[in-house]
Amino acid sequence: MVPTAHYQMGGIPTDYSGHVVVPKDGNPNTPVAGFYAAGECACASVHGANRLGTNSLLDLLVFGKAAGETAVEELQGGQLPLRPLPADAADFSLARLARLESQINGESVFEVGQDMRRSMQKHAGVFRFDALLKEGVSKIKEIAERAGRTQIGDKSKVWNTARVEALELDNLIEVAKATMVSAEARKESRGAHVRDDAPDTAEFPNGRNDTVWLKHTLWYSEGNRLDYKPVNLNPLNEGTEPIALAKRTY
Amino acid sequence: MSKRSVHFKIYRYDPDRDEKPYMQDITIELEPSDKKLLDALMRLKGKDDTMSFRRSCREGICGSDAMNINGKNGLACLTALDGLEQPVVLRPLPGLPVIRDLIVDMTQFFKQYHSIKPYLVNDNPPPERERLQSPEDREELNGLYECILCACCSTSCPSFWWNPDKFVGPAGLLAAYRFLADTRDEATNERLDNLEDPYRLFRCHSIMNCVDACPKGLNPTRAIGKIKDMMVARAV
Ligand code: SF4
Ligand code: SF4
Ligand code: FES
Repeated sequence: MVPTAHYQMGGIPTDYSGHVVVPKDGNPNTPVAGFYAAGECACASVHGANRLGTNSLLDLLVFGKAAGETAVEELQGGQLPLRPLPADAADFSLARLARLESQINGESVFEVGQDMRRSMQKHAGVFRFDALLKEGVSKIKEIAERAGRTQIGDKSKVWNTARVEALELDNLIEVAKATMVSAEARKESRGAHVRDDAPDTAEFPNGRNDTVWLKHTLWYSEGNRLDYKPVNLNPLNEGTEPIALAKRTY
Repeated sequence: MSKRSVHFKIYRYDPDRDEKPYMQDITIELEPSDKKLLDALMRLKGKDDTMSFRRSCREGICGSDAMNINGKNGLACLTALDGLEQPVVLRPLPGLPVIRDLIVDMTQFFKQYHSIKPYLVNDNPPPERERLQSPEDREELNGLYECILCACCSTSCPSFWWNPDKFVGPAGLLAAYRFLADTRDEATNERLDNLEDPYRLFRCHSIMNCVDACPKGLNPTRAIGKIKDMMVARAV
C-alpha cells in the first residue's frame, strides 16, 4: 500500500470573490483585472496549510459561485475596460503544439511522467527530509527539461489523447516544480508539510516556527524563484475575533 | 520468474487514418505493480500512444474508462488482470457511436440523463440552515446516489440500443428515482409526468442486463420498478 496524492493544496492566489491577486505596489493582494480562478487550481486560502476532509467543497460551491458571479457582474457592469485581443494572443499555445508536432528523437511522455511521479513520491512525500528535498529540486529540474523534449507518435486530428497527455505533462511539471522548490525552502513543519528535521517540540508546536515561517510561499514559474507574503489572520467581517494559532492535537 | 504478459485483441479505429475498424492483436509485458486492466492499458499506451481510451481517476470514481471487456461492460480500473480470460477482447461500449478506438460519443447518454432534471427541485424559500431529512428518509437514497455515470448499464440494455433517443435508459432512470425518493424534492408530479410515455420509462422490460453490468453494484431495475409503482399509485 502506498499513499497517493488526492488533492492539490495551494494554487493561484485569489481573494474571496475569485479575483486572482498578485503583489503590486506594496499591496500583496492586488487583483488582476479580468482574471479569475476557482476550484482546485485556485487558493482562496481558507484551508491554511492543510485542507481537512470535505472542505474542498468550499472551493467548489462557495468560491466557484463567487468567482462566477463576480465575473458576470464585472463584465455586465462595464467595470472591465475590454482591450482588443493582441494579435499574438495565441502564439504561446500554438508554439507548444508546434513544438510537439515537430519534435524528433524526443522523450516518451509515459516515461517522463512516471519519473516525475516517482520523484515527487520519493522526494516530496508524506514525510520530508532535507537531503531528499535538495536532491528532489535538481531532479525535478532535469525532468522538466526532458518534458520540454517530449515526442508523440500519434498525429491524428481525432480525439488525440497522446497530445493531450503531453500538454498535461507540461502543466504537471510546473506544479511539481512549485511543490518541490517551495517545500525544500520551508525549513519547518506546517500542516501537511511535515519535515523530519522540524519535529514537534514545546518551542515549535507541531514543528511550526511562526516567527520565521508564518507566511505564504509564492512560486514564480519565471526563473523558478520564490517570494513570500503575509498571512491574513483577521476575519473580514467586523467584530469577529481572529482565532489564535494553536497546536494541532489530533 | 518469467514476466507476466497479457494478450489483447483490441478494437481499433481512427477515422483520420483507417478505412474501417479492425481488431488489433497485441501482447504486452507487465510489471509486478500492474494489477488492473487499466495498468496494462497505460503500459500499452506507453509503447503505442495512438491507442486511445478515456481514463482519469484510476479508482472507480470518475466513470470514464468504461469499456466492453470480454463481452461484458465494466471499468478497466476496477477489473483485475489476474483471472481475465485471454486473449482479453476489448471493444468500445456497445450501442453508442464510436469516435475513436475505445472512445464513444456519450452525447445521447447525457442527453437522457439531463432530461430527468438530475437536481433537487424545491421552490420553497430555504430555511435558516439546511433542508433536513430523517435518517430513514436519507436511507432511501442509498444505492441511488452512488452512480458515477459510466454508462455500463445503459449500453448493455437492448431497449436503450434500439431507442437511445426515446428511452431514458437505466442510468437516467436510476437518477430519476434518486430525486423522486428524495423527501426534500417537491417536483414528484412533474417528474412522473415527464416519464409518462410509451418509451421514456415503459421500454424497460426488466431484462436486468443493467444490474449485471453496473460496476458500482447498483440496481437500476429495482429503481425502475419503484417508479412504475409510483405511477400506478398515482393513477388510483
Ligand atoms: S432492466 Fe430495463 S433498463 Fe435494465 S437492462 Fe433491462 S430493459 Fe434495460
Ligand atoms: S448505474 Fe451503475 S452502470 Fe449505470 S451509470 Fe451508474 S454506476 Fe454506471
Ligand atoms: S478511471 Fe475513473 S472510473 Fe476508471
